[in-house]
Formats: sequence, C-alpha cells, structure tokens
Amino acid sequence: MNLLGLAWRSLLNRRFAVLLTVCTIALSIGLLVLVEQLRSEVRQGFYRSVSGVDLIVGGRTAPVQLLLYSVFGIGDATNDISWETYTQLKALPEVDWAIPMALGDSHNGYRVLGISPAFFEHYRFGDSEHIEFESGQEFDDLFDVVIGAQVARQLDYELGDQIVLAHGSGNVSLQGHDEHPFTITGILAPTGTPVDQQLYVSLAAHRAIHIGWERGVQMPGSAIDPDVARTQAEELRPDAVTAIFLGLTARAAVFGLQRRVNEYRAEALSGIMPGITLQQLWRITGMAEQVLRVVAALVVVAGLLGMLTVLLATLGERRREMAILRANGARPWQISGLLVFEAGLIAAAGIAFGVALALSVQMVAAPWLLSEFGLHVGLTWPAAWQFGVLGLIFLAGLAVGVIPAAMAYRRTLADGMQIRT
Amino acid sequence: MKHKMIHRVFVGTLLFVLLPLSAHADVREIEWVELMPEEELNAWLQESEIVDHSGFGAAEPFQSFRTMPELDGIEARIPGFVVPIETDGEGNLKEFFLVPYFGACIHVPPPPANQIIYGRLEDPIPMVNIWDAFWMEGTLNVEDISNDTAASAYTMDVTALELY
Repeated sequence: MNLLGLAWRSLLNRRFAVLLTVCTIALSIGLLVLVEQLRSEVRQGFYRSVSGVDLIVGGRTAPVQLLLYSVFGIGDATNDISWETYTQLKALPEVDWAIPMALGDSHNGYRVLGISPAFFEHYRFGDSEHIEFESGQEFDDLFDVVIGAQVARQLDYELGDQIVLAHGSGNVSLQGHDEHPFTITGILAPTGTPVDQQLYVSLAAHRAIHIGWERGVQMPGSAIDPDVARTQAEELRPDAVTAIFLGLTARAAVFGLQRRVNEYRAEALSGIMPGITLQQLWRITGMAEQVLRVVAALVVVAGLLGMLTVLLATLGERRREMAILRANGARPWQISGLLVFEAGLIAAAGIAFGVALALSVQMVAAPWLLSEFGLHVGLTWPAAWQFGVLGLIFLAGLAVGVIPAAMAYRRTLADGMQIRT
Repeated sequence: MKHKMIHRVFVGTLLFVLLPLSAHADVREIEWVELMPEEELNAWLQESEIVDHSGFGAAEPFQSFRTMPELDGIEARIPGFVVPIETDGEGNLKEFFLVPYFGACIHVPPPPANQIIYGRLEDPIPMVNIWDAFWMEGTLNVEDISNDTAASAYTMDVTALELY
C-alpha cells in the first residue's frame, strides 16, 4: 500500500478529530481570503461608479462625505448650492458640462434625484461607459420618471406604471407627494453602480412637487395642480441643488477651478476630485482593513496550531500503529514522512475548503451589497499574490507536520515493538 | 468633441510613424521648470499677488496654458505625484495627472496648467498611492486643448511609472 493510501486510511480512522481540524483551518483561510476579496471588490465597485467627472461641487463639507452622498447615496448633505451659483459655474469657459442634482426625496427607500438631461448625456461609469436605456427614454412630460435597473427589478415596475414619491429618505413613506403621481418613461440598463438604485426626475418636477413645502411641511391645499404645473414647466426650477458634477474642456484646469470653488466668497462650497477623494477614503478605511488582515492572519496561525495539537495528541494513541508499520518493514523516515504527508493533506484540504467558503460567502453577500450600496461585487478568483500567500500557508502546514514527525522518528527508533504502557 | 477625436487620431498616427525612429533615443530627465516658457517664468516671478475673490471671476493669470513646443515628442523621465483621473472597469489606473508636489496646499494657488502632465497608460496598472512620488517615463507631447484659443498642455504616453 502506498503512502497516500496509508495516510488516507489512517486519517479515516481518526475522522472526527481530522474533520474538526480541517474545519478550523478552512474557517481561518476563509476569513483571510474573504477579507482580501471584499476589500478589493468593494474598492473596484467604488472606482467603477464614477468616471469622467472632473470636479464634484457641493455645499461646504468634508470631501469624503461629499463624494459619498453625491455619488453613492451614503449619508446626507449638510448644505445646498444656490441656483445662481450653479448657473455661474456652468457658464465658466473651462466648464464643458454640468450635471446638477437635487436630493431629498425617495421612493420605497430608493433615492430620487432631480437632475438635468445632461445626466443621461454625460454621466459615465466603469471604463467610460455611457448610461443606456434598457427600455423607454428620457422624461418628456413634467411628471415623468426614469428608474434604475435595480429599482425596476426589485419593485417589479414597467414602463407606464404610476408611482408616488415620498418626501425625505426613510424606507417607509409617511409624507408623500400624493398629488403628483409620476409615470415611468424609462428604465436604465444595469450598470453595477449606484445608478441602478436611483430614480430620476427633472429639476422642474423636483421643484413642482415641493411647492407648498416652504414651511417644512406641506400646507394643506397648497400643492400645485399637476396641469397648472405642466403649463409652467418652463419656468419651474429649484432654488438650490445639492451637488454638481462638472466636466471640463481642459482637464488640466481642474486644479485652478477647484481652488476657485473652494475660495468662492459668495457661498461656502467644496470642490473635490473623485480620484483623490476615493484614496482619502481608502486611507480612512485602511486602518480597519489592516486590523482585519492581522486578525485573519492570527486566526490562520491558530488554525495551524490547532492542527499541531491534534497531531501531537493522537501521536501517543498511534504508537501501536507505528509499531506495526515498523514491524512490516517501514523505515523511521517513512513513518515521519507519513506524518508530514498527513499534515500536508489536512492543510491542503483546509485551504481548498477555505477558498470555497470565502467564495460562497461572497456569492451570498453580493445581492446584499448590491441592494444596500449599489455595489456590484463580482465572483472573482483570488489574485495571484493571494495564491502565493496560500502556498506559504501550505508550507507552514507542512512545517507544522515536521514537529510530530521528528518526535515519531525518535520514538519509533526507541520504542521498537516494546510498548510500555 | 469631434475635433478632439480627429486630433487624437492625428497625434496617434504621428506617433505611430515617429515612434520607431525615436525608439533608441536617449531618455531625457527633465525638470518641472523646463516645462514653463522662460518669459512666463520671469513675468510670474515679478507678478503681484492680487487675487480677485468676488464671483468665480476669470481664471487666475498664472493658469498658464502655454507650453514649450521644442519638448514635443521627446522621450522624457520626470518625477512627481500621481492624481488619478480615470480608471478602467476594474479599478486599475488608466489616466492621471502628474504634478510636482502633492496635496491640496491651501495657502498657495495650485500649480499652473503647464506644470501638470496628463499621463495616459496604454495598459492600465493597479491603482497607485497618491502619497508616493513616482518616476514617469514616456513620450512627452504638447497637445492643443481648445480650438479657439492658443491653449495647449502637456500629455505623456506613459511607458513606465515606478516608485521614486
């Protein structure tokens, strides 16, 4: 019988302890791989979500926060930008296009953005991909709404459906804009970015549904009649927008413009470059990631120590087994080799199950990340360097096996067939 | 937009023709001041620091879009910091600005436009850290950035980006 067969039979004989050891190692490897996978996938998801925007302008706030609420719908804006400032910015010679957006409403927990048609033309994601319509088109009537792919799928909406927007961003609507139902005229193609999780109305519509809300709540009977609103659609515009995405004619002008935005005296503004701000965000989350990495690494060490414990503990019980092997002509180094081989098998099985575990958790977590943050987490194979790390862990597993192997080597020589109990 | 495209195609073709010729040319290490026309450097040193803060105003005078035409097409190597601009679908760095110093230093104005090089990587590389300095190597170009003014800026087809 060859080494593999012997090791396999021997492991089967101690299946319970071995299974637990494999589980321990699998859990620790799973944690290690998962932490790394999610880290890179989430970063990728964030980078995917914004492309082609040179400067994001919002009310004065922290750069990371401005990025999070304007692009990712995480957190809330502290301040608005006046319409006058928006028109001034848009008219600057170095500004090629501007996408104003007004936040504050929601529909079943999904954000509603008041935007200008420039959004459909200029907003980009991923590898400079444009937004496309799955079906339908941009808004035509004042009370038309375009919805993201995920919104359509989750709420089972189709073109022509009528929906009511809610004031505020709660998951349940208590105060709605019931007088102004919107008709779905367009459904966007999936992008794997927060675009899928949002609904889009025109800035005029955003203004129209907020007439009568000047005191913070809607004054009864003050809502504008939809048909009257339609006749005024040309003049309707909000007093303020929440954020503006800017594309420049010459990208090198972005530094100068950013400074002028930040120093603008008439209104406190913040201008951010998405690429830099994302890295600032990684710097903040980097600490937590490091801690997670260290914890995962320590758990792997604990897993290997667990294997060592099991191998050592069973060594005593296996004296008879070893003695029989010796009696059948096995040399001491063959017995040692058997133990190292066993350790290698356990480590390899643990690593394989661990990777499988990580991938399945990732698969289960993907829909949640998508619905919660609009982040598309793909099921990607771990990066090459991660396999390098896993290889090292396997070698560490073999090294752990050397300890009982060395002990067995000495003992089998000393013990012979005489087992003193 | 169309003009830009045509321009790019033109520059691309030009590069395609010229590249084999310059493949063995020595890589020149350049300094940031070399990118700025001399008269401008002098004028800039004498300029008084009066900045108009009302409204967004006109672009500040030192937002210079003047370049050194003789640097067009040379193989150059220059150190600086990376400001990521575009990534591919997987979060790899594709296009970026190289700037002489890092950080939004809020006490002085940002570097003028001719002190910024727009780098394009043919093959995207994993995202780099904006706090690290890098050597950028590749073909330096002077590109017109608008059709109605004489504005131009530096771009580089980057062949290598390595840690300083």
